[in-house]
Amino acid sequence: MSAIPNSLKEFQPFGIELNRNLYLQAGADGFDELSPASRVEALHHAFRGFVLEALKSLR
Amino acid sequence: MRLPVLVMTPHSSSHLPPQILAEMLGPNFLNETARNHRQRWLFHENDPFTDIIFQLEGAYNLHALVNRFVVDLNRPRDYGGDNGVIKLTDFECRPLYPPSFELNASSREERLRRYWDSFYRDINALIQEDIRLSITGHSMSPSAPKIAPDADTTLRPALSMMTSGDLSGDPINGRHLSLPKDLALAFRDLLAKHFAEIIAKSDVPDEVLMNSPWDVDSLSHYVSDPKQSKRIPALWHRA
Repeated sequence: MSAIPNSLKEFQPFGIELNRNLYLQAGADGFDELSPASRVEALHHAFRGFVLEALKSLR
Repeated sequence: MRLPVLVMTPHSSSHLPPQILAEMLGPNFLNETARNHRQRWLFHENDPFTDIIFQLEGAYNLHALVNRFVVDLNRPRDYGGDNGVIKLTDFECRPLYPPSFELNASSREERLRRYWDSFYRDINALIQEDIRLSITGHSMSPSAPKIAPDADTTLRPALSMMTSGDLSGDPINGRHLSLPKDLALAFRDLLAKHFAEIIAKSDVPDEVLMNSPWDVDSLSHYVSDPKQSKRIPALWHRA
């Protein structure tokens, strides 16, 4: 494994857990399926908005 | 311009390579219904669709190429046990393999070399880039399965962040934080702000927590480890 770069101190890692009820709904075959596209799209945009603002706060 | 962001989803893939599927199903491997059912079951025991939700245009995206039940990429390479890097049961403790199945040392090593090592090679290459943020995207079931650390609780929060610290973002158990406390608190508030409208329209508890129900995201801990030769303590179980 290669070494972590020296710039690591400016490198900010974390994990996010998203509740599945925010984007899944019961499917006909007993397995959940994706919520309507509008919900998935809204989550996708919320995540992007969060990242862009988080990046700004680092500058 | 490329965004200085690395997004990883270690539990998003539906792919079960035929060799692993054959080990799981035994003689039923040739039965199409059995194969389809196993694929569906284990996809939904994963963090389904997180590659779609967390895919970030312009960033460095690294999504798993195999299902978490082939190799769990969010575990240290030497993490053993039924819920280890190579799992023998699902999160409700249902066996994944026939009783006669035994994972010997060379098969285990081959599986890790093929799937775990290749993913970490990619990570190690990507973090040489100009990355400011690294985000591992997961999803959690709305209530805890049998083996989870919060199995005695009722409903899980809308969102949670993991920084290897405690509920306030302070260090615990002698571990390094993957994210400093002040930044963790600021990012938690930003998460709450950007997801507020979606959460308000849902039926999930409107909480955005830190380090609960899990406090460690293994990949974030790995890439933030200043020594990296350290191995992550086997303190938690993710489900």
